[in-house]
Amino acid sequence: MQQYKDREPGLFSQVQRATAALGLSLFVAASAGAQTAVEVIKDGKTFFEIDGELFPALEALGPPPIPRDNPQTVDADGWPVKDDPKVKLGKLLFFEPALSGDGSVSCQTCHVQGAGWALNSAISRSYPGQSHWRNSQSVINAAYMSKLFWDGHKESLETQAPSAAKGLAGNGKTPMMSARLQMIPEYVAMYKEAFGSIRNPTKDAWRAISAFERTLTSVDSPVDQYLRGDEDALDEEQIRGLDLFNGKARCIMCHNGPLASDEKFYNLGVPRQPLFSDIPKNQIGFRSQTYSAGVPEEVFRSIKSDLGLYFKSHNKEDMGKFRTQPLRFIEYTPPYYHNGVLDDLEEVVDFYDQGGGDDYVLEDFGFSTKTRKLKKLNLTDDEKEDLIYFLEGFSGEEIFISIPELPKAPARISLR
Amino acid sequence: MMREKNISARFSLVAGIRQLCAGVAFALPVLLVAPAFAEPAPLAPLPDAEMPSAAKVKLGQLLFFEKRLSGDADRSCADCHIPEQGWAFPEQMSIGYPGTLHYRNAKTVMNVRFAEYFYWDGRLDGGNDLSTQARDSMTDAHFMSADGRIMGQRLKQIPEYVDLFKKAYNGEPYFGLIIKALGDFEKTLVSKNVPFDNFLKGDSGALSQQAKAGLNLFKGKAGCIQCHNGMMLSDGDVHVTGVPVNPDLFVTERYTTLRSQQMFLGTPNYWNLKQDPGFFAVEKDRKYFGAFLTPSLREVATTAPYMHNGMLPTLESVVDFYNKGGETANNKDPRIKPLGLSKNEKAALVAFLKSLSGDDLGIKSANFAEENMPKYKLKQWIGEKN
Ligand code: HEC
Ligand code: HEC
Ligand code: HEC
Ligand code: HEC
Repeated sequence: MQQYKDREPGLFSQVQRATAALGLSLFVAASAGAQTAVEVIKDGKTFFEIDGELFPALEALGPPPIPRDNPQTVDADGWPVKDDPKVKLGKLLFFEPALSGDGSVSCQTCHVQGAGWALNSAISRSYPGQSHWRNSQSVINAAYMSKLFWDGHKESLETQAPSAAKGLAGNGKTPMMSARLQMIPEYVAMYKEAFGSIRNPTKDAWRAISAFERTLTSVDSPVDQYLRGDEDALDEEQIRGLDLFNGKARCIMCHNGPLASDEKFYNLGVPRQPLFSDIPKNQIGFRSQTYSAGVPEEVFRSIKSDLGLYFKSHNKEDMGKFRTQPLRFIEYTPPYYHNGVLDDLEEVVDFYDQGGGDDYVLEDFGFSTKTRKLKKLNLTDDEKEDLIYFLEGFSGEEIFISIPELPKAPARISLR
Repeated sequence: MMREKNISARFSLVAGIRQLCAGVAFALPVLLVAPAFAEPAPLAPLPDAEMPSAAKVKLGQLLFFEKRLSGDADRSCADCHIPEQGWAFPEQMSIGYPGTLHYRNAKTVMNVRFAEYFYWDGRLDGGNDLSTQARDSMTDAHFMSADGRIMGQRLKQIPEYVDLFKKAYNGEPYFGLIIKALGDFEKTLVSKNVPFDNFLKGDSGALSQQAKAGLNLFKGKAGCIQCHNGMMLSDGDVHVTGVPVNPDLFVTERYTTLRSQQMFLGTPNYWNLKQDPGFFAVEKDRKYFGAFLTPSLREVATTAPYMHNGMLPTLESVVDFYNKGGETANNKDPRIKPLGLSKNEKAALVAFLKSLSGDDLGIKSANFAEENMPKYKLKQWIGEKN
């Protein structure tokens, strides 16, 4: 992303600097004719005003929060270090297929480093013999989220990991996975160092993997550098894009604050995924998950597209709502949305330009839960391009790590 | 009749009442006094049992061969209970779910409808309840590792099954009916035209002279009937016989399954077991360490190799084992002792054991090969009810 470096200082930052001294003030940034963001400074914090509501400005990301009950070593600035026994163990376990039912699937199978630590397919694979029903999310920056998964149904990495290894992803069972890890001498030694013993192989595996995931952060994107004060980090088009993001394109209403996500839930009217109409195994994967969610029978019978938050809350108002996705690293993680229905950022921007899509909840259940925040944007082609450039600026360097060589169990067990 | 059963110890009041109702009372614990063993139940032919409807059996049979009932869609019941191999697995120890190996011999599913308890360690109630066992088989990590809710949805994707479930149970495929259908099919796996049963019913020509001599040894000098009695030739109780440990127990994948299952069962010292603990896992008392359920001897000629870990390859080797009084083991049942059988006597005993197998049921695995199974079909999606 170095190519953005030597460009003109951005308009946004000029405005920001000009307003910094004032307590509460309102600026309409004076850019060349186009409609622009309305910035408001309140109690020293920057917001953007849309439809009379204030939304917190984007901010650079600091170190991820580390839960008290799963401590790990951090450097002087609070960033998790890689040279921590727990992180080293977690890295191996992230690649460890023993943490699945048939020993063939690891976290890395669906969170592939060459594919944005996600998968390029619209609908993720599952364990062999089964198919998933959602798009695989990137694990980059998952460390910052307090609501994990597309429907936000897990609160921490520590509680997310077991549901990945045991559920539709890995089909693992705790006693078998535990016993497998205990058979591997290198793990016994590494657990000893990280946790004192290997008496809780799986529970501690989730903790180690979580600690490892906290080292998988992307915070060096041009947007981050810009937000930290490097005005050259974004070029002119991108700064116009940012202005649109904060204003005319209304993105800031949901993609705001340091995460570029309010971690709230909306139904955008994301189109249906035709793969469910076209492939028998996908129909099975889809129905299996909706059946397992334990929703009332009349709802189960009618579900044809993902109802998101509803599966957690069982509250009809939540049908079709999904967590606002954070936007960092976005360039590397197509296709987009919970069902991977949009292929690239052009399609995403067109989708928002049209005010989102038709609400499939309305079609299947007779009432709409679609958010009122989306409106037709009337973006010009140039504006769309600027916005896309800006979105691309959310992606820093692609992240690659060395693939670890996994320790193996001996062919036979020898007891003391 | 006074009978003490080790295995009943794990049951609380309910089971106690069940046994009392069955007219069986408890005696003093055997070890307090010199062994005073129960009078063996008389040997008896299998009863004529009621069979489920043809529609249920047809469905259950198809399901028994259905690999898509396992997580990976790669294991069916019939993969480990192979019809041509006495409905068991022909190796010492069974395969497992892909990525796992089992640490015990696969038992036959013939005549299971009459079994009092299931598994080598007798940890599960039999009676007439085959569904609970089928649930275990489908969901256990080392058998089929299936999520029952998903299996229902898989079958709903196959029109032939939707049709069969409707005909058999007037319902759509779901886990509860899947295991019911499997159980209903297993009810038909009953030995047919068994020479020994024909003999008991009065056809004295059904057994050869040698087999008759073997029967007498079985009831007399060899003492087998002390444990192998009743119509299943099993007392439904557990005993230590001193079968040697199979060294392949320590093959990592097998030991992993042992440890995982024993961890699940809460067996003391599960992380350092040097042998299969058997019934000790159920009733955590040292005297049951290495005790196994007396298996039925029906169809025994077809289910080699023998014992919980397949350590004995042939019926001849089983008889040799008993003849020398088993191997040394702690808490070995005192009835396992040198028998002093002659070569002829041993052969007679084997001939008798062979008379316990009936006709082949005529069910062929090849008819259920993957290409013969019904296929997933696309369903109309939008606008149709799930
Ligand atoms: C078979 C594919 C697959 C495997 C294996 C898998 N995942 Fe995932 N992962 C997914 C999919 C699909 C989602 C989105 C699921 C959803 O929202 O319901 C996801 C979501 C996540 C998220 C949430 C990210 C966010 O932004 O909320 C994290 C974290 C994660 N996975 C970590 C893991 C870990 C750790 C493992 C290994 C223990 C793992 N995954 C194994 C497919 C997989
Ligand atoms: C009303 C809140 C809201 C607004 C406004 C909004 N988004 Fe989103 N955004 C979401 C939600 C919710 C999702 C996830 C939806 C889903 O998967 O169903 C999402 C997903 C995305 C994704 C896909 C991320 C991924 O990993 O798949 C991109 C890109 C995106 N938004 C960009 C934008 C842009 C650009 C704008 C402004 C034009 C915008 N959003 C406006 C809520 C919003
Ligand atoms: C991967 C191999 C495997 C598969 C698949 C399998 N079994 Fe088994 N089965 C075994 C083994 C091994 C045992 C003995 C286990 C023990 O004693 O702990 C057993 C025991 C049983 C028993 C108990 C018999 C008795 O007399 O105690 C029954 C009944 C049975 N299986 C039925 C089934 C059914 C029905 C299915 C399919 C739903 C099935 N099995 C699938 C290997 C398998
Ligand atoms: C004290 C009770 C007892 C006596 C007496 C006894 N058995 Fe057994 N028998 C068992 C038990 C328990 C097992 C299972 C042992 C194991 O798997 O480790 C068994 C297993 C067997 C098996 C293996 C069946 C299979 O499917 O693998 C055969 C065959 C057998 N016995 C035949 C005999 C014969 C013949 C005699 C008499 C010579 C005899 N038994 C005496 C308790 C007894």
